Amino acid sequence: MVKNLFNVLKKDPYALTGVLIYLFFILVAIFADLIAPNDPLRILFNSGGLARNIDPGREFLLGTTSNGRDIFSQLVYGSRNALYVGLTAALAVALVGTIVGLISGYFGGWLDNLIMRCADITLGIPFLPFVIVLAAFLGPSSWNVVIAISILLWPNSGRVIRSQVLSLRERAYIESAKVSGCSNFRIIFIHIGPNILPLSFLYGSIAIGWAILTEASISFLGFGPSDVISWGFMLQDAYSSQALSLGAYFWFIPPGICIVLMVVAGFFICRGYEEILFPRIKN
Amino acid sequence: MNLLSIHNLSVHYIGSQGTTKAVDDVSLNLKEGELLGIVGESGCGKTTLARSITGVIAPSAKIISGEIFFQNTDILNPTNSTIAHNVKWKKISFIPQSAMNSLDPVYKIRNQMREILMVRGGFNKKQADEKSNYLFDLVGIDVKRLRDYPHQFSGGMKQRVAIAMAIALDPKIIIADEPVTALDVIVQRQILDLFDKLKKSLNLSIILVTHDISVIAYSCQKVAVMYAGEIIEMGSVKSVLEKPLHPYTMGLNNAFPDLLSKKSDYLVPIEGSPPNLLNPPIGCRFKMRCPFSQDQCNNKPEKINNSDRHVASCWRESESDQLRIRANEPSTWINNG
Amino acid sequence: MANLKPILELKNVSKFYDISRNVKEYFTGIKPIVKAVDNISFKIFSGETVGILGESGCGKTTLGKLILNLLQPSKGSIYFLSNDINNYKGEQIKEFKKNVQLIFQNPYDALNPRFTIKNILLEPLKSLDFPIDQHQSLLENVMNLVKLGNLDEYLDKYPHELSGGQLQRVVLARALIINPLFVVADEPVSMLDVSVRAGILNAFNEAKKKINFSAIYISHDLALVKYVCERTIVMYLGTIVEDGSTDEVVRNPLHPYTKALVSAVPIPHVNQSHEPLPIKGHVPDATANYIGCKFAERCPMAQTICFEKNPDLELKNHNDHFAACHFI
Repeated sequence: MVKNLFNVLKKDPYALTGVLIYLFFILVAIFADLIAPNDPLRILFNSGGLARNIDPGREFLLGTTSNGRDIFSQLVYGSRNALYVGLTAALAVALVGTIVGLISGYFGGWLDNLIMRCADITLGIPFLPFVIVLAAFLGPSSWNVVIAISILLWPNSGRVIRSQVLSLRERAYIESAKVSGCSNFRIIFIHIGPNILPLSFLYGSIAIGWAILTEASISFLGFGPSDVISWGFMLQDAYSSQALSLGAYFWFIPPGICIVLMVVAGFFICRGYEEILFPRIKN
Repeated sequence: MNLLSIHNLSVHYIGSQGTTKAVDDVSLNLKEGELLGIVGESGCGKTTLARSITGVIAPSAKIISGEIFFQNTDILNPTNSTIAHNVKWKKISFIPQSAMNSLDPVYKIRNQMREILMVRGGFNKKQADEKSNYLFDLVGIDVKRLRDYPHQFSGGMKQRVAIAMAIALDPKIIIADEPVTALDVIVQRQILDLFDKLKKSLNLSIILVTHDISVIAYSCQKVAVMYAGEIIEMGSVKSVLEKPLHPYTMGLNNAFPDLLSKKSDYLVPIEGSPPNLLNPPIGCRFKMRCPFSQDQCNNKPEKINNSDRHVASCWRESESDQLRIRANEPSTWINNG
Repeated sequence: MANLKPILELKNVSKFYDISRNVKEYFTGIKPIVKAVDNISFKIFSGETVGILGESGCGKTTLGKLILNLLQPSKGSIYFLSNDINNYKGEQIKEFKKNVQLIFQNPYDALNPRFTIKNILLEPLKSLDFPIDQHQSLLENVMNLVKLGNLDEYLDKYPHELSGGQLQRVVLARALIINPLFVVADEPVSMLDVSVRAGILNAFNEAKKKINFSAIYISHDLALVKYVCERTIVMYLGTIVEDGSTDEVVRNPLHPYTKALVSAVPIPHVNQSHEPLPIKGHVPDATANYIGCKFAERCPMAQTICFEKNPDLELKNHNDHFAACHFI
């Protein structure tokens, strides 16, 4: 499968672009301390007093906010939060969705019914309001988004994986595994599992983008943590400081672009990995 | 008089990996009222050949060369396109493999019959219904079943419906691709008997494409044996089965389980598999699996042309009597390849 | 003969499927039931290969699944080595699977496309807890047995790289690697080319001689059954209509259905009979409720009693040849 991964990357420019974008942000996040010149939350002073609303220049690459904070540093450190929320949520969705899909699809019967009805109910819960309520109860923090996504987003991947399992379950080689004495556990994880892992990755990729976007929305609405820098926080800050009327494009456009890049990268990777999902097995 | 005459037909599939020479320089004749069998294994090109006659070929398939004469008119020639269209539309009818699965599941049979008769045949609705009743009678299905949907029919009955559709526009030739493969043996026999009855009562000519020699032995008078895109033997069924000239046919006979054989008769497989048609070998295409191949087989033996005699495409055709005796020994095939 | 215990015995085994389609049926109590297998009893002795012959819908595949314990019978019992297989629990089920294996019909689908051939073959050994030090020798033995040729050549390949015939040899090898006592072969060559079938059947026959397993060979093709099986059981709509040595059944069929089957099989000879088959109509609706013989409505020699009383499977001549018909 790993060989396959590299081959796909070589052939599909979209997937390659997506992976490169992710890699780029991962590196930025890891080396944020080295890249960012200032603490993103520190209020800075310069010769003229509070360093507020300074245009992009040599001292501050992207200028400063109305509170005197370095925008560029905020952007750099924001990537950490984005990745943290994005990857955790993606993992949760992929994991929960996969396990649910496997169990529901393979065993069927009342268990399947129960799980799918839970899925139906979950799908009926509106997303943003739920996160907001969660924030009200648990206090604003990045964890809220991760929890909310894990609780609310698993039905999508779970259902699709379940239907894939339903069709795989009937294949002759699964029946032969049963005849050969394979335990259910072994069949699920060793025989069926590898055939649906690509789907899990797919939904995981989509979830990363979705999580980042959601986190940004929450922060933008003011329900996010105020002591952690995120791109969404930057957008909210810019908005409440009326950056648009100030003409401070350098403040809100960069974080917007970064969010879009991360989300789009996720989708690009999905496109490229269709080959892995449905390889043409010659007959 | 030859109703259908194919001369040097070649059909290639153009694909991303290269050109597959699926049908290579094939020639054969079909007389009026004749039931010709084309027998061969999967991948030998028989379906492509059958489809090329009616023009119902895949977009990636191209007829590279050759002529197909229907009553003296070459229907591959663009100048004859009007006649060719009429011929392919009405005079030659094709029953594809798994025809019974190609019935539209959401329309009643009556409507599907109407579509053929009205759109292609120019009948009006009343005439179409009358003809449908007549056709169902002919193929042995209760006329009341016209009201039903395809899923309410059994496999054998669906095949009869497919046959009824095929003869709806009074064709002169029916080409049937594996018409009985998916059917149980009793139904199979009934369908083959139906073909025979229709051949006689409607004066049809039929080309039966199959991998099953027993079906050919039961139904056909003449047979063409295909291997790797070429016809390697052709003649009357009696002659080809009892005195095969080509080593492949001899091997095929040994591989067929025979209900009447003695228990000690050993089934002998032909080791190996057919060559890749992307890059067919130079010379005889069977030489790698043939127990009688010699140096001369690196050159292509003479192709079969539109002959009525029993012929084979093999350098050692003249020695076929001795080769046949050796071919009956299992050891000839087992120590080979 | 009476002292030998059969390796497999079925006693009055039936399998019903409830196919009620609408609410009305529930309330009126007239539920259509498909009797896939209807009151079947037979014995198989060690070393026998028995053909189960019948057309589609006769229940032969369901019978195979019942014997493999993939399905539970609605009525009746199945005994393997004198133990009722439906009473098996835990370890007994594993023991059973070590002894009874299946050869599939579709070689292209029977193997996990993501596993190498080596892993496919080792899988039963892993699932059934065979000691690891035995794995290699068992693998070599079975590869030689099915004549898959050079070991190294195939072990690291994936299923899509092999031809149909080679795949089916792998399927055969996987079934035999644990040295089972009993094999269920479900139309193992029906999806292969004719020139390849002989190879698989020969491999099956030779393996049978070397390992000495018993088997049932499910097929609708009488010529194939004849090549592999000494004994043949003919099924029609879930019941057994004839049971005897294959030679007898082919040369001297007793039951009218068997007679029709035998005369319907085309042979690769020119001079064969084109006489109309001694059978009427089509295979009837599987849900219909039958009183009397199920074959009666298609039988050319049916009489009144045939529609009233279902004939039992009885010994009809001294050649161990059984048939279920009032008029033999």
